[in-house]
Amino acid sequence: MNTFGKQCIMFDEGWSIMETGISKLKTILDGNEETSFKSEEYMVLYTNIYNMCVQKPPYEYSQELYDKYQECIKEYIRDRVLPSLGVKHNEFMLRELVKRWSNHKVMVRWLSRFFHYLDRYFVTRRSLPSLKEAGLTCFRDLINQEREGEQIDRALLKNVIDMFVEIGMGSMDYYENDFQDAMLIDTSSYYSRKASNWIVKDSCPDYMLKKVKNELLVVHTNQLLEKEHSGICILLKNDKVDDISRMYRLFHKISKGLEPVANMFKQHVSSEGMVLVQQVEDAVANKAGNAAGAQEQSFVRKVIELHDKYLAYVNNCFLNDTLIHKALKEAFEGFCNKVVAGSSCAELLASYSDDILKKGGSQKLSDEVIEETLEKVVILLAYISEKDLFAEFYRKKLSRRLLFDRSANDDHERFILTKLKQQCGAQFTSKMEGMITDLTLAKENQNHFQEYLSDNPSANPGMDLTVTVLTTGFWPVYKSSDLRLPAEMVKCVEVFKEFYQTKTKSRKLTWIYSLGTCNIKGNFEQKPIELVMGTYQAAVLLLFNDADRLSYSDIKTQLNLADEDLVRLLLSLSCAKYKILNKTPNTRSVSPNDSFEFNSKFTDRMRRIKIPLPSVDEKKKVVEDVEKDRRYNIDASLVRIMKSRKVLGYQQLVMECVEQLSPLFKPDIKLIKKRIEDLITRDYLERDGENPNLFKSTDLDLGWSFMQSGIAKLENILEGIEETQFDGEEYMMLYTTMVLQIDQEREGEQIDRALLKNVIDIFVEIGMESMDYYKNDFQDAMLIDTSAYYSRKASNWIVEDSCPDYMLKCLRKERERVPHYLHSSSEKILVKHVSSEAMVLVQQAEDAAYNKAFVKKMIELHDKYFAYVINCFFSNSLFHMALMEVFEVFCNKVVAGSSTAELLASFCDDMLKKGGSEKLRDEVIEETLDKVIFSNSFPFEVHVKRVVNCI
Amino acid sequence: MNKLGRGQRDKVQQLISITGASEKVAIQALKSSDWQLEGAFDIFYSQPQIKSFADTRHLEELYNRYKDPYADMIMADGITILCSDLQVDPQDIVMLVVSWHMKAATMCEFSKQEFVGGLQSLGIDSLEKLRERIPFMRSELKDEQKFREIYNFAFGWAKEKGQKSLALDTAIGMWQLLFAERQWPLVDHWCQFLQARHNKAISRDTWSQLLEFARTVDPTLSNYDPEGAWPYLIDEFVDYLTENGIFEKGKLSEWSYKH
Repeated sequence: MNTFGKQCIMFDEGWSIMETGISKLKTILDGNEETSFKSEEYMVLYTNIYNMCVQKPPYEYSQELYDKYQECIKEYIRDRVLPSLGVKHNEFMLRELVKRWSNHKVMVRWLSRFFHYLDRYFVTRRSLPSLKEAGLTCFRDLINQEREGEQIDRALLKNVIDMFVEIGMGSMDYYENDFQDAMLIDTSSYYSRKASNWIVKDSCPDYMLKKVKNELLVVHTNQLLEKEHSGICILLKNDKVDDISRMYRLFHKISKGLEPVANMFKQHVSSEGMVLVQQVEDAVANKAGNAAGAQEQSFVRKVIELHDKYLAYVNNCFLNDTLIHKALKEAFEGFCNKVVAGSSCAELLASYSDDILKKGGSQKLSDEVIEETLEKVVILLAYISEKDLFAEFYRKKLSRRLLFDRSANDDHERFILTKLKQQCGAQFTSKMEGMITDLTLAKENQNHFQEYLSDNPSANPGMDLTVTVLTTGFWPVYKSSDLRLPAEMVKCVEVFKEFYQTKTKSRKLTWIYSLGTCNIKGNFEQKPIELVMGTYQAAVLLLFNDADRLSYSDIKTQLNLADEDLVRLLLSLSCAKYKILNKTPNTRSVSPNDSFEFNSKFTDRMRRIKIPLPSVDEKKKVVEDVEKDRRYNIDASLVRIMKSRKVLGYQQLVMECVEQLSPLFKPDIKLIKKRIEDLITRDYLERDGENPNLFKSTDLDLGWSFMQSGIAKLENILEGIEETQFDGEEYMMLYTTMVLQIDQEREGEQIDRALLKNVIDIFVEIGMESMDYYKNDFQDAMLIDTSAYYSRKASNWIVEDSCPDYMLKCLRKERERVPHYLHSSSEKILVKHVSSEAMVLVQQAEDAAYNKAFVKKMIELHDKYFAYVINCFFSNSLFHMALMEVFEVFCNKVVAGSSTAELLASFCDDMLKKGGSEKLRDEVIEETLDKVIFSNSFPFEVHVKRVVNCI
Repeated sequence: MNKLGRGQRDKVQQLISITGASEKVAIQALKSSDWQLEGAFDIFYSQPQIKSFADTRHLEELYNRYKDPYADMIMADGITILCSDLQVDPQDIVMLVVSWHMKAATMCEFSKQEFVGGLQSLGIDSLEKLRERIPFMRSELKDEQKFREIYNFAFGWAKEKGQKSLALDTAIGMWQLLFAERQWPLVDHWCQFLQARHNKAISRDTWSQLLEFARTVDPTLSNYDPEGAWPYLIDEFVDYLTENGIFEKGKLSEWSYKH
């Protein structure tokens, strides 16, 4: 180069040289010129720059060149890029932009070459942004300008940013190295700056529309959701379905993007729920008294509405996303397990359904609406952990509906039970179903009784008598007091007893007078009035047939009643709306010194009046009962776990116990702990001597003796010798020990089968011909236990034995077991159960054995076990059956997409065709085919025929 | 003795001097072990009926001294006399150790079998020997393993016959006695807590776990695990301590330490 050049190159002069180069570059970029730069041209340009840069000041034009360079790029963008972008829209614009961007990059690259010296020398010295960077910055600035240019439509903006991603795909290096970081930082700071403005200007959904779904969203998610807390809530509140859906679509694409949304959703739903809870609390606190009931009703209704609403969101807007579903569930679980105004939600749900199901409930609804509502109640129940409490309250209400003929519609009763059964299992509803069946049976029984009376006129007690005979176990426990009945009623009882003796001998009747209703005629001076009242009330009134005036203590001794009951009765007769009795002194309360006489002046405009007896608050008792049951359940569960595990750490024991009981209720950890200690004292468990965190099960011969005493008691009850029924604890322990014994026997221990059989016979006998007891109480639970046992054992057995071995083993053992101590009706179900467990294993086998290998193995298996059956089991028909059943099960499975029949056919084909995969002697082939037919004789006749034809 | 050889005689003497057995017992034990000294020791200690041979007479005399006039066992009065003979306070914890050695089933009672058999197994055939042994027995309480055995023995010993649990008053008395031996700063709080909140009998599990608690959980409760398998009552106790501000930030106040 001519460093001692005669004359300096002036800037304009130099630049004009450059401009020719640049304009050429531009035309190349526009695709107009095909020829690229020749090296000479390039050299000229480079030299030019070099010269301009090395000239002594003031002719040193580095700075100017640098600025000019930037300007040049800007100009290019302004003149060429923007207009061409401006005319195009959407996708086309995008394409254009992409094209422009790549052009831009080429240009920057070339220009950088031209100005290479500048870059190397000047830029480093001044630590200015490198040329490349400067060039890219220009592009960025432009976009920033666009952003500022409020005219630019938002869709464009969105596309711009989308484009960057797309550009990035084409040339990641550039994008990542030079642009992305800067762009991101820039963009996000830009958005942060702008965000607040926009939030003011636009509504949130608009904002989101603008937002780009990728990085920006991630960066801003929390900010957006948190800042826009009210925003999202407002969306939910105002039913902005579209916006919510949009939000879902946006957020669900980014990883973990939905989590904050789900959280917000959950919070929102919870807070809505809590508002409802609070409303009831407030209302109850303000009004107190009767209004509370209505408030609680409306609470449940509102909760149902709330659930409807948000479930719809989950389904429609959130496309049933599991995360959101979970959020909904958690939210409802949160406030559904709160105590609302002193009642648990379980109770509220029960009384709400009672209100719907009973005659004259507060709502008048069509059948469909009733069914729909009931279904929703059942759905809500899923959120409630104390399902046992619900069951108990429901049973209580159901029994009132049934016994006092308040049930509006039998179909609805059955409908909700079906729904409950579907959701909570057969055990949950078995008692309730029993109650309904009981009532049908009781009606039949009453008809028989009427026939009996007409056949034996002498026995007729002289008044109408309806008796409802119920099965003890199904119904809530009612107090049966030793009320001394008036003679008239005693006669009734005797007559019915006599009748009942003719039907059955081994059953004992317990009369529950508190549930009775009496119609008696009061001969008042003005007119006779028919009084409808409870048996107790009637018993009090009948005393006044023989005496004009009675003192409190007279009544008490004559009827043999407890004070609390008697006070209640007398209040209802002398101090309430209808004053059938006159009390002296005439006060509003009853005290032991009062005396009473018949109020013959009493009258009413009605001919028939109902004298209500305020019911005692049963809530406390129900809760107590449930708590007691929980203790038995925990005990039984603990014993069962320990029996199968033998040794277990404390934490794990508690965990398993909670898990076992979770479908019914959420046991309190402290309670479990107490029960564990109680079991230790009762010698069911013991603590490990070395490690106090470890528990061991004791050997339960104790349980055995317990069972024997249980049986003795059962027999006594059946004979009518013993008065008391089984209480929950005894029943539970009896059941548990029985299952444990059966488990043990499966393990190969010798147990007294006769004894077990006895117990089961008794179970069946209790349940009379209908077998309901047996089925409900025992069989279901037994089956559940059986399958649990087999799944536990399965893995061991798989290791020890081959799969068919396993199945044979199960089937054989269970079948053998059944006649010994199960009632025959269980046999089929049990066998089915075991097979289904085994099927799972077939599934596993299926993965391993396929096609030919499978068929071959099957034949081998069959050979092997057939030999066993013949040799070891002396061709016993039972084992033949078992083998056959197993293979039937086997062969009916579709293996790797083909039916076994197909596999067999192709196996035969392979065997028979020339050049099949196996080379066998003729005899072997014939033998094999023989076996194919044999092993297949039962299930696939069609295919067998085909095989025969082949041969 | 005369029929024995010299070596045999030496062995008899050795055995007697070590075990304190009578000559007859010693010869018998040696004979049945084929004159092996070590074998004879095994026999002597594992087969009490051998030992019982000679000294039962002494022991029965001793037993009769304390025996209740109306029953074939030593009752409270007899024990009082025994204690004064031994120059020991009946409330002294060492009597628990004595009972432990005798495998006594119930407090304030020794059956003949327990008394005679117990002393035999201790190799004691006179009052003097028993008295001499008392300081040793006291020292046994310092042995952690033995203390644990004695502690667990105390439950069955102190409870009413036929009951599964220990009456609270008795339990508290026993605890105060036992934890006087083995320092546990929380014992007073524990007893106060039981009287205030529990007021029911104590189960065996709670009894034995309390020693574990006292042994392993330090008095500031810093290593107490609320999720652990501690009996319910102990969990409650910890809650009680925290509620009543006996702990502040996991530290036991000075006052509690002094106790």
